[in-house]
Amino acid sequence: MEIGILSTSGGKQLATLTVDPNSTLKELKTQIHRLKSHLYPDRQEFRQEPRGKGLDESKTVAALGLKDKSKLYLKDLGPQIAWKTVFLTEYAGPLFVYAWIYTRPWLFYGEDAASQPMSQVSHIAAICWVFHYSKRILETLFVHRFSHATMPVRNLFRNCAYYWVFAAYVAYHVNHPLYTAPCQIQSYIALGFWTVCELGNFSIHWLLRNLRPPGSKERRIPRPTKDPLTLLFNLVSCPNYTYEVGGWVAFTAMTQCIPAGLFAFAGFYQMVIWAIGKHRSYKKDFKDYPRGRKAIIPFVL
Amino acid sequence: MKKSFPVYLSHLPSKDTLTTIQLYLQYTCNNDSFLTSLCSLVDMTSKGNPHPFVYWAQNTSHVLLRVDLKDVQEPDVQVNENHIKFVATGVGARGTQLYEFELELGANIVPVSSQYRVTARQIDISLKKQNDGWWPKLTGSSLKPTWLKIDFDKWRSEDDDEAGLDISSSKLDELDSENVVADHMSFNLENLRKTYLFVYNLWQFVGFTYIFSMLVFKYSTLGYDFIPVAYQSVHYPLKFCQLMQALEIFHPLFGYTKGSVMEPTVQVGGRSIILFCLIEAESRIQDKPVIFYLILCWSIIELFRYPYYMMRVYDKDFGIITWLRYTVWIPLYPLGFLCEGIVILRNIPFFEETGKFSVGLPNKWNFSFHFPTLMRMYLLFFFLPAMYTMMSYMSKQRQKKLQVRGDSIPSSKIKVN
Repeated sequence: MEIGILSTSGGKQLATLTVDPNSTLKELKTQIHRLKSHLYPDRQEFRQEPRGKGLDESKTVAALGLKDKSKLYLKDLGPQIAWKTVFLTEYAGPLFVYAWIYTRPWLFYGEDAASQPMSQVSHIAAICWVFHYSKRILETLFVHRFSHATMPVRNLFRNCAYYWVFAAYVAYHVNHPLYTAPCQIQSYIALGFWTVCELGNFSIHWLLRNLRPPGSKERRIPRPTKDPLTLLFNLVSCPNYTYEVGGWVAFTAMTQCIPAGLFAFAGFYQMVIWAIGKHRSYKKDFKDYPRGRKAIIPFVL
Repeated sequence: MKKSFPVYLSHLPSKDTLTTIQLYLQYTCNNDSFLTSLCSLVDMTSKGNPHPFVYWAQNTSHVLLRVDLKDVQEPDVQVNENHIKFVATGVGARGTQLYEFELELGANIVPVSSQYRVTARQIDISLKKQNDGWWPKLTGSSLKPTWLKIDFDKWRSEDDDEAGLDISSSKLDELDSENVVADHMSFNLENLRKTYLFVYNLWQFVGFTYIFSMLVFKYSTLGYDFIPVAYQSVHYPLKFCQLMQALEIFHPLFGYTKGSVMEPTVQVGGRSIILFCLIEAESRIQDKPVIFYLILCWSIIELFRYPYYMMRVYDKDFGIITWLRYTVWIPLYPLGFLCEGIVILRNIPFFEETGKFSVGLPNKWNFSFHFPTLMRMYLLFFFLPAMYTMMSYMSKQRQKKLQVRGDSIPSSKIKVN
């Protein structure tokens, strides 16, 4: 049977495809890619109405109720970039930017700054920062499983700007010759807390990875395992975000630096939005989802 | 072979005339339902009952009809999958009598999920679409009735929906924030809101007219010598009106007006920073010519903006005012932006010297803020993108407001396909 493919912008006819009822939308995307070489499959999204929801590409033509001479709308999602690429670029930036500013370059501090003494906290903070972003890069390479392969290229610039500029902002203050360290006890307690949060964050990522066997699209409710750090799942839907926020709050307390606090707050704000979204979709998908769980902050939010 | 041509009628045809046209066209193009369609286009139904004015709007999941009849007790609304028929007695354009209308819909709806609500001033009908998505037109035929108009108040363009304004459960109440206040409170409170908004806009209009007139008058009498003292002579009313503008953030926030909260926040916030942090705080900038031009620019923009708002409070639309409001910004906004940029640029050395608003290291909280650096960053990285964003936003608004206007004016032109 024949399906007409129309553009979501303007509604003009892009192509007419010959398909059989059992073809999946994924196969249709491959067909269109052959006709229009710039529209690789990741860039395509099918809809039944121009402003409707995107359709799942694993669905078949028959399942969608399409008949001969039916129409489907195609949205061009714009140039795409792989999630992995985005993450690696986003995280490599802060790593190198902080490390560079740690050496107190003349560009930011003037000629004499590098030779001046640096407080112990500044050294520890640098190690923590580098460790955090190295961990993120390794997780992106080996731990995370991405449900969607790509995102629009625009996001790359926006996200990188955020990470890189904030890294410079925090690094400038913590490594400054005039930086004032808080009292040692405060720093060490905060450091301990930070360590727990980093380990906790990793435990959750590891648990989530093992929740879904590779290749399957099965969705399951995450629950605590033998690792005590995963017990947070009893209280929140997204303990990885909880630990992440906790880590940055700890970093702020350790350095007693407002720019670090602003960075923690910005991250917190964004993660609250993500956590609430995830929490809602868990509750929608699973009728037996545990009731006591909050989204990101135990008992509160 | 399909042929399309416009038919111009100088007056409403009588039923006999319509029958004659129908017979002629039946003979020539076999169109049976032509008479019904033609009658439905003009004010009368085939039974002779007038049509009320009906305003329609839509979002992704619903079609909303607003029937402009007052004091209706019990309307007779019959809905099936692609058809709606409405009969009611009420007060409309032809006084108190029986009004009715019928529409063949462009796509299918779900009758059981559709509802209507009667108020003292109108009947709101909400039809749930069978398939979510945008309807290019309301009716199935390509003929557009004169009594069916677009509801600008509720109109959500496709772009608005993309921005995620659509909420999952779009019931009547949630869509129309203005009418939530109106319909749950008495008629008097609605009146009060309109009066307040009108007075606010009028007040600001008077304020900025005063500022503008002062500048023009003094410049014409004193000449160039006036320019260094311009700020001194108008700074009190200017600061006062600027502070009052903060209310414009609360109007959409509390639902007194439609529109986004972000837009007035950015506008008012930006201008306030320029006025209070950059001009008021540094006396050395106040005698520069750019200040004179900036205040002139701001006040001229307001001279067109506030009358437009005053008009809109009472849902009036005088074409010339709308046109001016949505055209005058084209030269004035860039000019204003440029003047602001110059003010910032010229202030950088002054703020470097005084260190005002800046915080330096060392301090307990390891916080630093260097205002001149922020000013430089703004000029280098944000100035042009901000201007571009604002211009394209206004341009889109202009397209919407000046083009769509054409649809609402009733015409006796009928297109026949």
